[in-house]
Amino acid sequence: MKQTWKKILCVVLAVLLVAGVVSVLAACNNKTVILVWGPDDHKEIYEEYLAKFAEEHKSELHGATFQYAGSGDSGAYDAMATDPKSGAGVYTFANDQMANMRNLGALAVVNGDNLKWSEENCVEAAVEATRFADGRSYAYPLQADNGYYMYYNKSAFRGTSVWDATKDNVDGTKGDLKDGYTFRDLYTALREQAGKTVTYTAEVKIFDHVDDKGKRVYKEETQKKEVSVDWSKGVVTWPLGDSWYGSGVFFAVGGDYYVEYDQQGKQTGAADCWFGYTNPNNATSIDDYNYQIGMNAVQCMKNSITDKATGKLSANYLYTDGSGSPLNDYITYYTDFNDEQHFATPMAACVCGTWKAKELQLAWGSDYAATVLPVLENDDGLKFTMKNFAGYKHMGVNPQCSFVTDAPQEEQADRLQLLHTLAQYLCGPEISVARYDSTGAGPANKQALANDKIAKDAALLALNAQYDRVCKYPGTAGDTYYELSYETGTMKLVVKHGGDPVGNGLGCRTQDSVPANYWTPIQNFGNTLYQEISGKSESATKNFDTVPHIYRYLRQLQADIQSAAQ
Amino acid sequence: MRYLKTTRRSPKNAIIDTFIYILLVIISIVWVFPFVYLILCAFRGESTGMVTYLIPKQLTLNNFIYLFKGDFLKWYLNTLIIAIVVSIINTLITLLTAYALSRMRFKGRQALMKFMLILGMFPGFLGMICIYYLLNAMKMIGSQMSIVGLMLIYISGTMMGYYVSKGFFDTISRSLDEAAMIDGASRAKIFFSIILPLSKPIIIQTLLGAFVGPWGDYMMANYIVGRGGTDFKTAAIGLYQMVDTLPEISENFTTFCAGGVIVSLLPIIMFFFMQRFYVAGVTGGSVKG
Amino acid sequence: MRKISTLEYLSMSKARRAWYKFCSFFASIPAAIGRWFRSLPDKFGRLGAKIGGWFGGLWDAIRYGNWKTRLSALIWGFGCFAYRQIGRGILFLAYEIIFVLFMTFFGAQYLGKLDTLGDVLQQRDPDTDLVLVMGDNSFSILLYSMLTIAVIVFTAVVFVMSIKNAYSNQLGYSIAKRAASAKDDIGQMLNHKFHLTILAFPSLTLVVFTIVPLMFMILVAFTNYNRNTLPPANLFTWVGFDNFAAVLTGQAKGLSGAQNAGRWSYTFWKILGWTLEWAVLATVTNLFIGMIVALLINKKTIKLKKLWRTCLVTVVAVPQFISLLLVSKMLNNAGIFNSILYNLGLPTVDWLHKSAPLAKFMIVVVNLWVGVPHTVLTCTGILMNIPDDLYEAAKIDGANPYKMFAKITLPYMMFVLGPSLITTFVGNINNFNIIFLLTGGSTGLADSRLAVQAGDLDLLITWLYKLTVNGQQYDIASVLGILIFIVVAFFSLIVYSRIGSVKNEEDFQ
Repeated sequence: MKQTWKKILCVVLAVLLVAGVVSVLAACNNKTVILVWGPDDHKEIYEEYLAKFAEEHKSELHGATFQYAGSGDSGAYDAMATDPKSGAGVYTFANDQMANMRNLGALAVVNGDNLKWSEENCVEAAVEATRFADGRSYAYPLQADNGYYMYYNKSAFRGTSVWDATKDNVDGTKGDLKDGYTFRDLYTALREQAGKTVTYTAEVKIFDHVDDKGKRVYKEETQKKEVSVDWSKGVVTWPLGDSWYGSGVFFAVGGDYYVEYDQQGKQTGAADCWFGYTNPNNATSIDDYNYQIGMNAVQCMKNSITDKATGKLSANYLYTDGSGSPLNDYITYYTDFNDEQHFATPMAACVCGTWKAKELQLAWGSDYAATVLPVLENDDGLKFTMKNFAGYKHMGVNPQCSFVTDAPQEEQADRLQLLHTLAQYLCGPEISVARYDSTGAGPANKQALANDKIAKDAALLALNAQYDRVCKYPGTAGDTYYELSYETGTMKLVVKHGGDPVGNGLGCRTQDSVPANYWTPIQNFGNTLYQEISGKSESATKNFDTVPHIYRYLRQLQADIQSAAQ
Repeated sequence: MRYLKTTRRSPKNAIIDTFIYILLVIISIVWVFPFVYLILCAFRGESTGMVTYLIPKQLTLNNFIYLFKGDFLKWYLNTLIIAIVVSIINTLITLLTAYALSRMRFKGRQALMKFMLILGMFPGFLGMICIYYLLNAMKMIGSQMSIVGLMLIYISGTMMGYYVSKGFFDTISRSLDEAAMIDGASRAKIFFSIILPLSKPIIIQTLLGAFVGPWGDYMMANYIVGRGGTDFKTAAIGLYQMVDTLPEISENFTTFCAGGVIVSLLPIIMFFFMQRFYVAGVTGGSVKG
Repeated sequence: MRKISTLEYLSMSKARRAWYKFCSFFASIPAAIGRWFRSLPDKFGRLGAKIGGWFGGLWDAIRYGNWKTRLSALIWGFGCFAYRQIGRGILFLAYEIIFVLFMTFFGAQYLGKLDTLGDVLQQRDPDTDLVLVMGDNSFSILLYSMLTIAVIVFTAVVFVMSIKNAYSNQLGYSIAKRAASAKDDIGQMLNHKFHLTILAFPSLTLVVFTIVPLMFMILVAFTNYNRNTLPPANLFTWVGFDNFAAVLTGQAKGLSGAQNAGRWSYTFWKILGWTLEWAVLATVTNLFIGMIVALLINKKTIKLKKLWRTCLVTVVAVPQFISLLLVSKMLNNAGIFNSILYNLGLPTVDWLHKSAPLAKFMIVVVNLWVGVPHTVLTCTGILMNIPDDLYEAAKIDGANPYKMFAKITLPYMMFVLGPSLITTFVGNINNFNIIFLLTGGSTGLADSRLAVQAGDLDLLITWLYKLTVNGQQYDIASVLGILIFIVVAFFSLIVYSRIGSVKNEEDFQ
């Protein structure tokens, strides 16, 4: 027994000793590593291109090596926040993290030739999104695919009142939803299909087959399948209860927020919003506020989920909220199952982003299509273009990383420039196409966008059309769907600000300056509205039944967002 | 209740017993059902996401193959190395600390015990950012060394867990020590050759506890290795991230289940072999109350 | 509760005594707390006296020591060399040199800036963002100051030891003409000083990875270290009690935005409420259901005891991140439970995301699933330990099984489990896994008045976790940590002051 214990003790001490020696050795080993952060599923692509880059720039690397590490959406910021010096030299991040990253000092300004490269090679709107409070660019545009638009099944609307058979499609076919269609038009169109059974070809995953001998075998494979549906029971879904989508309505009717940042990227505290009402004349009585924005938003939201004829919740609308799970479930049921009951209420259209493209393409087969968001309509028939946040992925350069800061003073500028070159390389056309092939990531690189496959991707086309349509300020050429509904005097207030910190020419409404807790009030707003219209609300307080109630709720919404921003 | 054995079972008793059996069967089903589901999903051939039925239509080992094609083996080995090293070192530290506090009377002993008691009341996670920084300064973040860093974290607080073992040592008669001391044995010798052989249940209980802790830890491990490269993750982090978000769950659910089965296997085996000691240890500590 | 006399107590049956002890344990809690607080000044007094006495020895050494002893205050270990304790002497001297070097090249620069936490801001080239001046790093200053303070405290102890050692050498030399040699010292390290050998390594890791970080985080509660002031690009500084005021009262002058402070306090009280509610619910349900199941399994006429127990124990063996994640996916909207309902033609329920009360109920239920086996294991042990003669005696007195249960089994179990109840309660306050792995701390039904990172199902500990990992709100997180400590300490105090196993440990031996 005694011997055993001594042996164990020896082993433990030996382990400790080895661990100690290894750690000392590791600490002494000063080989510089340039970390590159990006999504996990692009690991192989990045490693391949990093190896190529290292080969080409051997002399400039001063013996440093590249190491790629996967980081999630917000992972880059969380990891960088702990210590920028040991963080990545070059990394991808979502544009809503830009202010944070800038505050950490983890983004180097993109100037001179570097900026010229961005402007020449990348989509204009994406380049604009890399600009920050001080008007300077701080990153390279990597991906432009984080937005939402409308997916639909052509067979559901072909030949109905919302159908424009003359419209050209990329794949050479004709027919698309009419310009300026509304949600109500979709519901009406579905209703027109009553009594008809429409057949389309879906690609469905089949698990059990009957083989030649009549025996059942189980094997997963994708099969073409004729699906016959009654489209009058079809559903259109858009996530009214998700603030990322709900914001789109407010922006459409002119609502907006304003947050001021200093040059460091720190919020200075000044924040305001115009979601519920405006108060151009500094009225002291709440009755004298201008509730036009809020009222328009409420009416547009209501009209987007109700039938024109009855004004009641449309049977063809499927509600989804912030969790997104009803939509996900729906798609999962739809694509994974060879289960007839899920075709009883088939999905005709849904508002979503690129991440569902593959699944929907399977589910709808040849009738899969995507287009811009519908137009919103208030009770007076005024129309507003539904707006979305333009989400981008950028490639940033960290000037504090040890590869730069640990180098001798005179080498530092060159080393930083090398990182810039690397970032440009990683945003280049070849690797962008490789990323698209692997996960369908939509590139921001113009050359990559011209690639045959990408140029014909219906989802990306819809997204880009959506970007073009909604990111411009009112009055910009091509913005034909925006109809001003109130006096220019009121509008002026609204136009000036923006998600765009100073409002000095940012073309896109991006998420990057959204304050903490901004989302929650809007999410609650959409959710409450749906609950009341659908009659599911269990609350005794009604918020949307009378105008004073709506006013009260709008004031609360604005107060909530304002306090969230401070 | 020996008398019950001799009494003839009345019909009433039989009804009660039947009722209890039914209840126990239901309870057992409830308790085991999730694990049955886990195993069924791990071997399910069709759909990598969630499905609406329980029994798989097709059985396969693909989930396991897919798991090991990825980085799972690395994660598993990382976890295994951490858990083994930590459990040995921690058991040693715990037992030695408990021994010192139980048998030796030295200046500051009471103060030390009280201090550790108070220290234990702070949430352990609180100092994490600081530990991260320290490990970072020691170059133990974002490399294979982060495994060693993680071990250090698991080891650092061990001393405070001396409580149960001390209670056990307190019950071993002191006359043993005294006799050995008269024979000229040193304290070290007494501990290794007299006390330890008598402490099998508590050694095993401590080992088990010290193994299972790092084996299933998510909170600490996520902070240290969760955001770095995929090579340095532990099984808990890797599996958690597989089903973390909605799009991922539909792609990885069955793989997660396969991983879950593999990760659970070792602790389950250990528990069933050591259950005897575990029960003895649990009750040994509590009856004294 | 009525106090009873010793005679009355002795006249009770064993089980009655146990029941009485159980009741009096809880009944005497308020008084015990009062006593503890009243004894605080006394406790501090004694602590002061102890430390004073220790340093008093130092004063004696300096006053009555010869020149050798006095010189060893300057050159540590001199008193050892003078009396031919070369080994010790070298150690003392080496320590002194290392300490001086440490302070000169490391400690002093950080300690010197502790008052402001640094004032040199990072400077960059405006055209390239190249770092020109790295600037002060408030984080390093605070952290390494704490490390330096820990080293200084340890040094003070070594210093006193060195002088005392010299003095005792001086005193001893005149009698024995020989001081303890290095060989003696090593022998002592395995024998009478074995505890030093044993505790050295664990103590070192404890200081570096637990105590220093804790000191650091406690101090962070008095700074504005959060996502706006992250070093090294930014500096943070002391803000006094502002963070505490924000969290507790919602009034804070120093923080930007008064409404925000209100948000912190609203969230804190709400989460504290749910934390305590949860801890009570989880503890009580677990205890009772666990006891009932244990009684069922351990009923003498029931067979296959081992099988039933094994079914339960599986949950204990499987790592929680697997079992809880699995259950959370099973309770998912498209999970197996809903699928079963769906296939039966019943309406499906979004268990964890529909409403907070439902989600909370589900958490308590799942906690039963996780926790009951532990209780069953413990109860089984207790039931086995109830002396059979109690039942025999009761049977002779003509008691029926129900009476025996009520008068013997239940009181006995409660007596043993009673004190551990509060330990379990404290454990539940900090039960991270079940909330975080099952729900992530939120139903997704947002309460817009909650502060950042907080969800409607969060416990204090999960909120703290999220504030640290995802929110970088270290200042508020530290305040939370301290408040959790206060809550936990309050309940622990009750247990430890009542059980007094620290006091009575000699009884067992």
